[in-house]
Amino acid sequence: MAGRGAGAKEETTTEELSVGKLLGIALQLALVLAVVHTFGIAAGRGLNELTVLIFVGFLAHALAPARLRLPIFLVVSLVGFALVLGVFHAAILVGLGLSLIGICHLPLPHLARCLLLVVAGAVLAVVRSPAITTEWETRVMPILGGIFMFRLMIYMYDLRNEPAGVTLWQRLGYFFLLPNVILPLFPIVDYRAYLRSLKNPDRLAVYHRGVELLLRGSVHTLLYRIIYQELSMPTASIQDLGSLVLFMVSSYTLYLRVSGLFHIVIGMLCLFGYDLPKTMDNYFLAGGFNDLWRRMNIYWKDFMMKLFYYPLFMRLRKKGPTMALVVSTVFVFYASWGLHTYQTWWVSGYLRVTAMDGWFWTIFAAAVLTNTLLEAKFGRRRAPIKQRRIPIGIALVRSLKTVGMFIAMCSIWSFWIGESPSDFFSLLAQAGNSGPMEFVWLVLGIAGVVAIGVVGQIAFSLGLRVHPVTYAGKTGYTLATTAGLLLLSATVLQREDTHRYLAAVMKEGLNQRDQELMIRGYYEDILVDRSLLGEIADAQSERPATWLDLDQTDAVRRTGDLLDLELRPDYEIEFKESLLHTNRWGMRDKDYSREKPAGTFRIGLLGGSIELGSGLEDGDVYSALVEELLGEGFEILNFAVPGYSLIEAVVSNERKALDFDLDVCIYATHFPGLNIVTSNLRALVENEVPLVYEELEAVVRKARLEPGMSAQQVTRALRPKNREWPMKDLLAWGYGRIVEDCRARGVVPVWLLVPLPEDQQSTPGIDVMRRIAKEAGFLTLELTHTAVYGDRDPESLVLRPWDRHPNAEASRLLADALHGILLENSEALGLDPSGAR
Amino acid sequence: MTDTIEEIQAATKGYIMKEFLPGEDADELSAATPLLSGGILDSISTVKLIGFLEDKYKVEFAAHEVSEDHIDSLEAIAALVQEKLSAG
Repeated sequence: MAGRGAGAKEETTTEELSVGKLLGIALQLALVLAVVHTFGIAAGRGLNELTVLIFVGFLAHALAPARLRLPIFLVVSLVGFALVLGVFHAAILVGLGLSLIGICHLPLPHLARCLLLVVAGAVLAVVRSPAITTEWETRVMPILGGIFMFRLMIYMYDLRNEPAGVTLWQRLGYFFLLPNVILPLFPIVDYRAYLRSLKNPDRLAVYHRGVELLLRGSVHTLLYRIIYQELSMPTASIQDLGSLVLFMVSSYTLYLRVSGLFHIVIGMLCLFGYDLPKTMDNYFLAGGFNDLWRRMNIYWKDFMMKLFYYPLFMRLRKKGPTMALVVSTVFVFYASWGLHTYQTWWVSGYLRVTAMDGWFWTIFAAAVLTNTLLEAKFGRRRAPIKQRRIPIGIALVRSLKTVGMFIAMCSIWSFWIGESPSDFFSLLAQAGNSGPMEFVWLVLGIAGVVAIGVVGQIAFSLGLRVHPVTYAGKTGYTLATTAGLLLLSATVLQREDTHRYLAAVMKEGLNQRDQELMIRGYYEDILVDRSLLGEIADAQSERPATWLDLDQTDAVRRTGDLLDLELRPDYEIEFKESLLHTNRWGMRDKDYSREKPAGTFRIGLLGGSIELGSGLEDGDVYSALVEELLGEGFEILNFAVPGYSLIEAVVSNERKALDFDLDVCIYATHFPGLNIVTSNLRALVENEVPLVYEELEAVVRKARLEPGMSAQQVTRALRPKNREWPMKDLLAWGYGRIVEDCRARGVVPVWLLVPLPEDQQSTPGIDVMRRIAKEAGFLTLELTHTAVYGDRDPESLVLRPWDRHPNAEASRLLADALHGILLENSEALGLDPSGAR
Repeated sequence: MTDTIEEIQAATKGYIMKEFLPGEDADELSAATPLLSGGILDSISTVKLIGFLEDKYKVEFAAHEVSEDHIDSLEAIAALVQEKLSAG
């Protein structure tokens, strides 16, 4: 590939383009786009809708005369916006964008234009706030923010010293870049770099680079999926050195998603002749913090250097270069933190400033500053201009530095995504559960990686390359990789017994852990800037601000005790775009009498948001549907409240349900059941709520729970490795109490496992729950995922992409299955209205 | 008397070779070798180089000039310095 900005060669004209090579590149592009389509790369972001446009646009652009290429790119971009956003929203986006660009060119002094832009930005920021929610705002503002939030700053900065001859098409093209519509969190393209990128005369090389980057981005995305779906784990399940190492490595390597998307974005731009610089440069191979700063998200680094570092340094340099260096470096990192928060606002509509972000940026700033001062004093060994054989000593030092840096970043990243510093240290302490051999294996593993690094460097310096450098080599690599991936998708990945690690490359969407978080409504807590490109952020991106959890509405009232909250009686509310009514008893149900009518068989249902029918109409709640299916003489009273789990079920059963003359009491639980019990107990301890029950207090004492512990710490305390679980005591108490209370009133206690649409596999705690429920004396009933949902697509059975509760269809399927299992067990349940007590 | 382009290039090259590329073959660093985009100069070495040029030629650089557009090669640096010298 020709170097960027190379020499003064005349631009390749259309006639001079080698038709053979262009067709070859077009063929490679078609194959890469087929991979993108087949594997659904960034499909959730709309890339699938753009594949045909990209291909056709590329050909039109490549074959057009020079004067038409920029207009063609602009047209392709606008069509792309319309395809993904719809014509109406695309028109709003372009209209607002043109207005902002117009302000940049008003016949006013530069400062006045800047101030006007600040005012316009402030108005748009208010529109972006969660208080104002319209469909167009949700769809358009993240993209508008993605286009203008940083590029306007650079544009205004460069406008003062702009080279002559910049055309209107170039100006418009700088803002309306096609891939922006799939990625609001866009690499910050520098205006001057953008203008330079149009000057590379070797168009074929630029197009070829575009194909390569698209493929590289796709491969990064597939690797990311394996890590996200199969290796990434909740911190609570880390209980030894092995799982700790896996967690730390997977936390950092999830960044492949960002690099994948950034490569795809720049690759798309290269296909239209923009020879932009790299956005990432083998960041996992960084040998120090400064090196990482130069390799990871290079556009961000360049932006910060240009607008903040150099101006500040140049201003301060007369006061001493070291002082200028220190102040400028530290300022850049704290400004980065601030700008990440600013970016979060535009992309997600949330403004989050967390202590962990502060820690992260402080640690990173301190590390880079130390590195900077050392480099300023002692210099830095640079890559030689001319490649020559590297001595083994130097290769060893570099390899050690790289591995050390990787370990450092895995640690910092794991620290960052934790809830608090103490959470991270408690995580590290889990390594103490492992024996010496595990540490020996870890050291050997690290030594092995270092050795591979040494061999790799020497081989590289001798001229051996992993990445091909010639046109033919690159073409061969692209053809082989795309053909291999397409073959894989058509053969191995179609088989049901494909290894799950391999099958994970086809999965787009939430992993098990994030599905649970979404069910529990915890997304807001984790939707901070560091997860803007995470799967949950993706799913939440279209969630309207009016889509609240029930505990954020007036439909509930706080009790200040073990229940925490309960439903208000006789209340009506539009909840998640459906109507929710409560009866005089504070139940989402019909207005039953407290006394059971004669000849009626009455079932009580204890549960949480699934049983309440979160987001469903009253008539679609599964308990209501089962009541209908059972027919006359049967009543199912729904005592469910969102967030309720075992402890609340015990209290609710004693305080309310058993007063309704039940024949059967069903306690419904789910695969994430243990996690919700854990989370609720943590909240009780945190808020120092009186625990009332001696057994519950004993559990808290045994697990040594106390206020201030993170969710992960509480989970590990309740379910420690290699020790008896205090959680088992909690289950034994809760289950035993429900059974005992029911039996005292002659009620049949039933433990019911209800699968959710996305529960594809059992969770480790479920066997424990089932065994203890049986020992406690419950009649245990289980609805299996297959029996309820068959092979239905889980995505078609959840409320919305941002809310994974069962939808009306799933509720109907649940009702059918529950009705069936109740009839199957009618004898054990005494299911007969005529014989009801 | 004002330094010629060639003299400025030679002085700049000497400084870069001594400070940032010790032991390298000076012939490998041509007048057109990309310095910033080629990774020879990073932020620290860039500000050091600017300091050297400002001290030696008694000129002042503006922040926007510390960029690939102005100082990406020896020839670009020399041209910029000479322009500043000529402007007085």
